Amino acid sequence: MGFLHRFEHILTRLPEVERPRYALSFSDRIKWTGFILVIYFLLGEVALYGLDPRAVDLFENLRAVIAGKFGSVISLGIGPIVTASIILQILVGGKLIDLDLSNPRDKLIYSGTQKLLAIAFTIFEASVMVLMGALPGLNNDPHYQLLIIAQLTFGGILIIYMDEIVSRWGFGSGIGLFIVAGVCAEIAVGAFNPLPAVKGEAVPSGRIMAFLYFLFNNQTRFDLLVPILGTLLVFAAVVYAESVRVEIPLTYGRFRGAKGRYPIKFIYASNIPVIFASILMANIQLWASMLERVGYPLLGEFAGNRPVSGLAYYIQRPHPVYSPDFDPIVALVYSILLIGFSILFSKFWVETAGMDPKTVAKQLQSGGMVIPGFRGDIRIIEKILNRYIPSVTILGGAAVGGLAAFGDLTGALGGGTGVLLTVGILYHLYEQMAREQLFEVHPMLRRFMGELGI
Amino acid sequence: MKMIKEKVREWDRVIKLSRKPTKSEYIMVAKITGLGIVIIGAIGFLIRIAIQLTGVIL
Repeated sequence: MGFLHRFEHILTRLPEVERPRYALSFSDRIKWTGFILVIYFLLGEVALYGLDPRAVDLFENLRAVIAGKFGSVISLGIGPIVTASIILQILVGGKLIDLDLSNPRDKLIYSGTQKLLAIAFTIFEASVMVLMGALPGLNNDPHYQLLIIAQLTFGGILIIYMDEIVSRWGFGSGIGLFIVAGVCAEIAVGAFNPLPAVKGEAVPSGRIMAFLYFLFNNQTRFDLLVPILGTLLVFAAVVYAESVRVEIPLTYGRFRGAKGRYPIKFIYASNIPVIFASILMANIQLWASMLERVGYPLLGEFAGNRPVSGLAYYIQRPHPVYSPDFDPIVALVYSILLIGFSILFSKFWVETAGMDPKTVAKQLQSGGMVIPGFRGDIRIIEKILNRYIPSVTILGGAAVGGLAAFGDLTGALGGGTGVLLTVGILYHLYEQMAREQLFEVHPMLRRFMGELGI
Repeated sequence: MKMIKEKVREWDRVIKLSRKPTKSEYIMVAKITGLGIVIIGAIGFLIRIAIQLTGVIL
């Protein structure tokens, strides 16, 4: 009986979104997902009342990962939710809290704790951002500061429940939807926005529109199109990389006939490593700016929110290739670090998420996955897997890190990491919708698939 | 040094073994994810431009 069990009656009675009582049709799910998507975009346009114009987005190069829209009531985006679930996974995974997720009662306590922790983090993060000056109140008036914290908390709680609605009534998860929404809007607006960035200016802020504007004044500004090209190239490369599979030949030494093929994704640890890598690098930036604010610029000095020296200078997202203050050294160091950290976190994730050869071998052996004609001994399966999984972990991590760095260097709209995540999430969303659609047509199949727990 | 050379040979073997997507498979995935980006991007674009035009909230 763990520590949390004592609070069971509170944890399991938190207000939650009702679960659908009947099987939802494909179009119902589409409607709910679309509905929440529109509300999410509208929330992004609700500016924080009482926010001082000096507000600075410290997580600018993390925006693709934490979604939300800076300056709005959802400036925190999905940061608190993700932080809460990472910490809870570590606590439960590390057996610091004894919750057995296979028994339903503990599962309810787990999701109750996760929601409470997410709400707590929303309040905590909102207060830190306001008091630390990232989202300051108008001339630091305490009334405004309190008001901003309240608005951020309200927005954060809305996001938590919207995520729950999408997960129960829509497709995929709310978190995935919000990340994709932010990046897609960034790409669309960044390319086609006909309105000028600042009222009164003539040049439209959308890059393709601006290029056309200059073309009409017979000036050819191709540098405007580099980010468009960057976005398309990263998109094309990610679609390719996501579809590459490594088919492990599970041939069994003595019985030449027993031939089985076990396909694994080349991007083995998917996008998780690059998310952790960019969170780490952004945090180093954050500590650097805090250190400087406290008077010990150990990690580097800042001008505004751009670092000008020290480690922070080299670890910041580099100016894109076409921009005047493009610094090749920073670009090189940034790319090497991003790729290196991605490989590191790829290894870390494969270990903790049970994708290592031993666990996979156990899964194969225990019949979850039946390989045609192959019932090899677990040690042999593990040995064969060991020849492939470690390489794919490193190569996949490097590929993901490289693609993200390439996207950032070409100034791809939505950021390299953003485009990468968007393609990955959309593809898994499609797979889920295809499965749903499949059931729609063959209810009998649904019962059969239901038994296999797919 | 030998270890690195061996590692690289191993990676090379895995890359050679991996099954690359066929043309039709690649086009299908590109179309699906591309369509998703266009639809969601259009919704976001309309909302942001509509509000920027009215200038009511911003």
